[in-house]
Amino acid sequence: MDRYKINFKDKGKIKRKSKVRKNIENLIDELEIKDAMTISFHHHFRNGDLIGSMVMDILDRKGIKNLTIFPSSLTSAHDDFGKYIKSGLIGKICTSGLRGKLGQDISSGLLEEPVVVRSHGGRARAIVQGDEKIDIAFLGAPHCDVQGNANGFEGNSPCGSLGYAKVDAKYADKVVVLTDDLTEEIAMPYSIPAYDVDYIVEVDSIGIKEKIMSGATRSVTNPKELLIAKKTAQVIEELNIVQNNFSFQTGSGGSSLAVAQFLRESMIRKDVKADFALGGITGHMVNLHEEGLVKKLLDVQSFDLSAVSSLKNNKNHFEIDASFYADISNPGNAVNRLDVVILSALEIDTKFNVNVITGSDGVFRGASGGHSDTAAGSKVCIVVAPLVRGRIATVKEKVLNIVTPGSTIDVLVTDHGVAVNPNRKDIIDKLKESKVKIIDINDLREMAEKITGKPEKINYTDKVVGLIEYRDGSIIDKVYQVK
Amino acid sequence: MELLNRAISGTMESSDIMVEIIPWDKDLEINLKSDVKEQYGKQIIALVKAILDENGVKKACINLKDKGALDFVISARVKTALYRAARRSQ
Amino acid sequence: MFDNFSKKYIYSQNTRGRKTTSDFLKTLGLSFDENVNITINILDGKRIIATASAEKNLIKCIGVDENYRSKGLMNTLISEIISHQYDNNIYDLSIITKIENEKVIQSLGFETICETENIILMENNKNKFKKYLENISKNKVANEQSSAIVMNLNPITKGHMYLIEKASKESEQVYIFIVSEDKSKVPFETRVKLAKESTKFLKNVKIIEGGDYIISSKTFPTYFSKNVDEWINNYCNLDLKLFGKYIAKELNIRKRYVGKEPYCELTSFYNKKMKEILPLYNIQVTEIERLEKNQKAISASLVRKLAEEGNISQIKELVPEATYKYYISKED
Repeated sequence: MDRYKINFKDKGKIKRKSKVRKNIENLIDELEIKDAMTISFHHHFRNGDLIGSMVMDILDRKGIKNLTIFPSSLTSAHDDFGKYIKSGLIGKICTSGLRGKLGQDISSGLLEEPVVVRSHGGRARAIVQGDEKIDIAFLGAPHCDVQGNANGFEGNSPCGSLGYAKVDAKYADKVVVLTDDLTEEIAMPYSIPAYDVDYIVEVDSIGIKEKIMSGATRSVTNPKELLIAKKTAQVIEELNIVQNNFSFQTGSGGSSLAVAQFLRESMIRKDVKADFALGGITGHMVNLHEEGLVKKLLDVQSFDLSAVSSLKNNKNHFEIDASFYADISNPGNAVNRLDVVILSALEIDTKFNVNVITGSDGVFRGASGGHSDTAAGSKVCIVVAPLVRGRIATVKEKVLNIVTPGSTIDVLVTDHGVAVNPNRKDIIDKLKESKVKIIDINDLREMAEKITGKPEKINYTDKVVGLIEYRDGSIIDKVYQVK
Repeated sequence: MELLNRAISGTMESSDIMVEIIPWDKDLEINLKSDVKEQYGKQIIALVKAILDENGVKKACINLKDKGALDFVISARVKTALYRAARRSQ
Repeated sequence: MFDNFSKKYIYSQNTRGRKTTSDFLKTLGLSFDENVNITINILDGKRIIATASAEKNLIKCIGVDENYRSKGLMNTLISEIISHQYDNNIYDLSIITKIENEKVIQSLGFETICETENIILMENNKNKFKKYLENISKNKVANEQSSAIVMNLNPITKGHMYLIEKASKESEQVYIFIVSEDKSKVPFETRVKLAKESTKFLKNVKIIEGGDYIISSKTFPTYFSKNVDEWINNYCNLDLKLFGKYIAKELNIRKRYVGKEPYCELTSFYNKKMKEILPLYNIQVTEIERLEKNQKAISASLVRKLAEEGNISQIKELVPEATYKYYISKED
């Protein structure tokens, strides 16, 4: 790579060349961005991200066309990206998540080329294996020094782990770090090393602070979610998973968050310490760690300020990149060591296939995330969900779109009963001996339909608007345009 | 059932439905705004029509604002709105 | 649904309740409008976390504590207000709110009638504004470009007549919009009657009821409380956009006459905004010096003051005949 070429003819003192550029506009000219290039950015700033729009806006004004945008995911901060599709700036999108207005736009066929949906591990695999080449990565960083060492736990609006961005920094052709806290002082420890960075631009603000990080992840008070969580903790205990040095991952939504609360009680009762907790780290996880119940935290994405502070101060709270986290081609990937993962689902069918990307109306409203990665890697994968949400049934005959194949989903816990995948005789046998009653998933489906009534079929057109790529690179499902 | 005045019942909270009944001299008109219109729109309107038929209501405008209410909730709200509309206003 | 919040109804006589509501709204940068007759608050323990009020068909003073957003409290409040007003036979409702709330209010069955930079006017009966415009257009006399004056005429004075006559001389057709809101001393029907009588001799002048969308508490809540606060800019924008973009079109109005306002801060601010905004809709604004008597501008408030004091004789030289006769008859 260019940045490693040194001219040995000149043996005098090194001429210090600055990577810092005055503004994004000038940098874009210097980079000579061409049509049809691939650019990437991360979503660690969640709904408060300003970097994505900033860059796209400038590229649009420069008249660039047909780019492939390859963010780690898209959030409500990118809601108005439809206008860049209309202007021709965006020709293709690869993302983990798609929701809100942009999700509706894509579902109604605004983009000609189908969106490629990958899991976090799948995205890392595609980058590492060279399936996708990133021409320029625009990476926002809360804190960066003048040489390019950057991290996410310092600065005005810290976001914690920069796990997804680290992969981009390593493999992209050109890397631009955008920060609102540029220092002369060396930024150590770094998340992104200076040797991976080509340019630095200081911007007024990387994001809207309150929307980047919540102060604290809320405690679950919803009785339904608590009931499901309690049942799940019971299942985990009956399966003898809570042993010393076990490892686990919980999702960040409702019931799965609450499971951690019950798991804690279990661990204390049995005097068990977990080896590590993995994935998106919340304040609840940090509490478990600081209590001594969980020895290490492996953080690919921090969810609140408590997690950020812990990442900064606790020496056993580690930042990991997306490839280490969940890349199937990475021989040391963390999900393969997981004893149990607790996930949510928008829909699950009688074959245990899970949909987390589209709603019951067929419109994009979710994210693949680490779902299929953790389901495949973990010893036991438990999906927690209410049987119905309002009038929408969670358990169906067939999901509208498959993100995670049923063969990797072991247990479903709902407020109306627990179902086990018939391919897990070992779990069925263990639970038969226990107080946990197992119910057939088809019965759950019937129950759900009795409550909600039978829904009308969704009307699709022939146009493919999304390709769901499984973590190994194969296409597992297609998403069609909704009429 | 003879409808004497406008009536409303229900709320716009999640899983509820707000039912407004306006008696008029034109034919029956049902307007549905729903969070789950695609999946359950037909079923909801059929249910409401059935209740109106049962009660002999032919000349009214029914405005429904649904937030994912289940059938028994819709039924209860529609019936309440009907009784209120049939009651003499104070 | 699972939180333990309580609801509280506050009526006009509950001054303490209104004060705490006002304090709560202040923390959100909003102000409480004294004209509301019902306020519904949601409390967490003893603390107000969300509030909404209504003055007849206008829902306003809506606010939710930022720590309690995304809990559907807005749905609860608006549902309650709708039910409550319904019980009082008030069916068609309007909301003036910050533009950020548009999506939420839309999901409650309201549609945007007029949008400005910061605030929007939304209604749950989209035909109401349509019908209003239809009624306005029924007053059309002819197709030529016309002029308009919006006046309270509380009561009509020689100062008003001066302005009206000037407009009449300079225009093909003049439409006088009388502010319908009955917050004025002289009742609406009387104001209309006196205006019609006094302008009878001017063949190209027509008196029209302003209705709900011209300087009403719907579009300009603080007009009647004479409060010059941050929201006045927003209300001026809304009122003037409604006039310029929609109402004026019905009658091909290309000019609006207004008297210079030396006394009232709020009115002079409004006049200033008029000159900024109406030209964007091809409406020229013409500001006329007030008619003076003894170096003092003739104003309706002066007339009302004299009437209150019982100085009817002094009124005679300030008002047209019809008005004078009205005050005489009131004395008897």
